Amino acid sequence: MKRSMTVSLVLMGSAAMALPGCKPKAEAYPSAEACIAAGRETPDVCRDAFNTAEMEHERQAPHFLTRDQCVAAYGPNGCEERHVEGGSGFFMPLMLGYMMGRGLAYHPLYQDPNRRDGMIGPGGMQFYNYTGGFSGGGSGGYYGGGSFRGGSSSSSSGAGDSGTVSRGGFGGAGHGFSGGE
Amino acid sequence: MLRESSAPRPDWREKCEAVGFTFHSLDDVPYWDESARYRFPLDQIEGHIETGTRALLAMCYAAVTELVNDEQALTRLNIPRDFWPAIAESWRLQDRDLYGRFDLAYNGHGPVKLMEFNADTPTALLESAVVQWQWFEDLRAAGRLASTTDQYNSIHERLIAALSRMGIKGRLHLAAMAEHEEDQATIFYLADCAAQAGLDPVPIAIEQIGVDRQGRFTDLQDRVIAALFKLYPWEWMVRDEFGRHTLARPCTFIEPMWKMLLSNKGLCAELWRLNPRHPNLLPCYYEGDPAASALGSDVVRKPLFGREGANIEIRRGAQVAASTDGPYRGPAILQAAGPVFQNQGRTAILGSWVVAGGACGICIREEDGPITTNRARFIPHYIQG
Repeated sequence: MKRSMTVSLVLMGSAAMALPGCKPKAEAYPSAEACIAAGRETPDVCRDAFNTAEMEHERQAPHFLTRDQCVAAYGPNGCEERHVEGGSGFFMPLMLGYMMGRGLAYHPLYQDPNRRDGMIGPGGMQFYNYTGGFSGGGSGGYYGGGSFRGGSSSSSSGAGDSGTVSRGGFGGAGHGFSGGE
Repeated sequence: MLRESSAPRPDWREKCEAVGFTFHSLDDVPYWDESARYRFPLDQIEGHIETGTRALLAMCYAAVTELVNDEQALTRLNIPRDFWPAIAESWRLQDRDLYGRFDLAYNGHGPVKLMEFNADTPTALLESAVVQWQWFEDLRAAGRLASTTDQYNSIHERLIAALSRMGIKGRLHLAAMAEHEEDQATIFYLADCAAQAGLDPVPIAIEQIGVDRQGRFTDLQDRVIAALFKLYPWEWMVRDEFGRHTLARPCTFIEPMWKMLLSNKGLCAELWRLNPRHPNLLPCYYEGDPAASALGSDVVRKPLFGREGANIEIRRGAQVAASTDGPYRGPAILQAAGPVFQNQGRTAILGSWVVAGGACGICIREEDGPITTNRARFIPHYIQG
């Protein structure tokens, strides 16, 4: 006989098969128009998300006194200068796009200083364009599902176990593609 | 090797879903397609497929021994230099491998020919090992297949046996990309096999893996990962931020690091160089190698790190007869076209499974065009005669 005598499963099909701790699927677009063109969300949702992210950007984006400080955090193409009437200007990250998605709040996205084709969002969430070069901006694109990168992860220790100092260092090269083949 | 029509079981969807095979259809088109089946006589299974698979696996293991110490070959294979010593170490210490799938060109006549080896992260595992087996048992129980029929498929038994002999005790973490249903189902299936092998399986998203101060990998509860099955290719791991942490061998990896040499399309060119004119190999060269002019007019171009049928080009003389797009650039191989099974415009590729070094089953994926992609249909098979 060339086949298994029996094939029995003890876990499959019985429990919901979802990986623990998975984040909801996130999308990112450079503009409301790109979001509308992608057709995954209604035009109203696209515009609402863009406006919300833009407001957050204006209110909460970090301000830097010098261009160098901003460039260190957001890369050479990720910053813009703002002039203040009657005062000295400042530098802040350029809003390159925004993120949205089921169960996710809308947030502005900035240049990932480590990857020209990447954008970063709150908590170090990263987005990579897998539809083609991102740098041009206008192309309507759906960006790879966000992956979280460490920084603020908890580091509780248990007996014999250790504290995690960083998380999310795997998955970036996948660009949202399947790992299997 | 014969393609036959076959009436689908009325409850095939429920049967599939009951074992966790939820991705049986893609956009309402069946991926699992039991409206057809392939029939093989036993002498083709044993004389061509099993024998050929064993020969290929032996050539692969022999090739790793050669390649780990061949700097020119490692350069040709585009393996990052930082990882060369760790790969050699992983081979020297005989880190155990679990499974792989050879994709073979075969039409029932003559030896099987290697198209590529999915040595690192093969999927189509659950449907090969479980769903196909249940289909066969159902048709036999219904009297639709004779009691003398069989199936070439002991994958499930072999996986459980192999997992119990990996030298792993207790916890086995299994990681896949968070957003891929098929990848997740694959690790949940392997988790099931691991549980039956007496291990304690812990599925985790690859993106959620952490690292501690000593450079050890951790799970979401901050527990150190001692053994990690990763359905995420080494070629991506080594380029990720955490890739450098794998150099210190912080845990048992399945597949082991040396599999990086086999899951690379350049392997086909290296095998042809090491075993010229072997009957189970197709003539194959790196693009740019002057020797490639020896290839006939029908040539297939594949990027070294291409996946799922993306960026493949079939050339007929100076013409491009067929091609697929995709994101994979970089060095490529040129391989002679193989004797692929063809039937009314369809092509069928034979996937030949190996578990712990043993040939143990097949899957057949059928495509309407000449290039097998992730939209191919899975067709079950049986043995008669």
